[in-house]
Amino acid sequence: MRQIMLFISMAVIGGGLYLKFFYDVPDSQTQINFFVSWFFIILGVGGVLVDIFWEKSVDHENRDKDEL
Amino acid sequence: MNRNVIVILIGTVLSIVLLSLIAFGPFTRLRNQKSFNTASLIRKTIPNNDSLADYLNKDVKENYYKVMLPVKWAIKAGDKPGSYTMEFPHGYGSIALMDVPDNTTLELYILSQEEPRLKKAVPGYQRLNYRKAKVNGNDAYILLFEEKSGNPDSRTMAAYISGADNAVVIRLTADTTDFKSLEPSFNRVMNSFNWRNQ
Repeated sequence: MRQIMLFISMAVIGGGLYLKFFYDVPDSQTQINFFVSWFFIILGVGGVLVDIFWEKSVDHENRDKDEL
Repeated sequence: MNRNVIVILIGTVLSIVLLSLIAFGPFTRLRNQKSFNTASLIRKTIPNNDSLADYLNKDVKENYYKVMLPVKWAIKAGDKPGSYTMEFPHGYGSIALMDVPDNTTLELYILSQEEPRLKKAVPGYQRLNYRKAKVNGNDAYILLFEEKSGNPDSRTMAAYISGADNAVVIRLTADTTDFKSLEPSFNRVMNSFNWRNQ
């Protein structure tokens, strides 16, 4: 499950970077492109960080259970 | 869900709120905006003593126009009604009427149809600038692009000027090395264009 979440987060970051650097933006749409690209990047990075720290917390719980 | 995860979620939400404020709200100035100093760019008065001649075109009803072209240029009537072709040292050009479909705007048409077509047709197409302007009260869109075909490279200034019925496109091309010296003449030609239907 976490691997799927990590994959989706990375894909969202990739989408954001694509819109930011490679998409040929019409001049009338630079504002919405700015918002959407950064939105995807922030969401993706947030998703990756949540995934990493979530794993750590679960690892701690499992270790605690094993020790008991 | 541990404390770190909660902090990350809160941070993400706050970042998105801040992003919204920068993109659409009061902090818009923080964003790097492309500022097109429109009319002033093409209305620079550059000293140029080449005299101009009036060309009043009445080929197509409802699309009469007047344009001033340097007398030294070789001007011919184009293949289509309401068009001209021109040749001059180190360059060439054309003026043509352009039918824009009613279900779109001129700008949308340029960006969605014209520029993709140019990208396919022009070897090594590279957009150098695109700006909106006013030419004698008409909305105009000035596209500057470079052709890198190597024999030799050239630059084209294309002005799409909106009209009540058709639009007009003025394309002026010069070798990249000579473009700077011809640019004042190009600007004068484009600024001289005016519809004559009113």
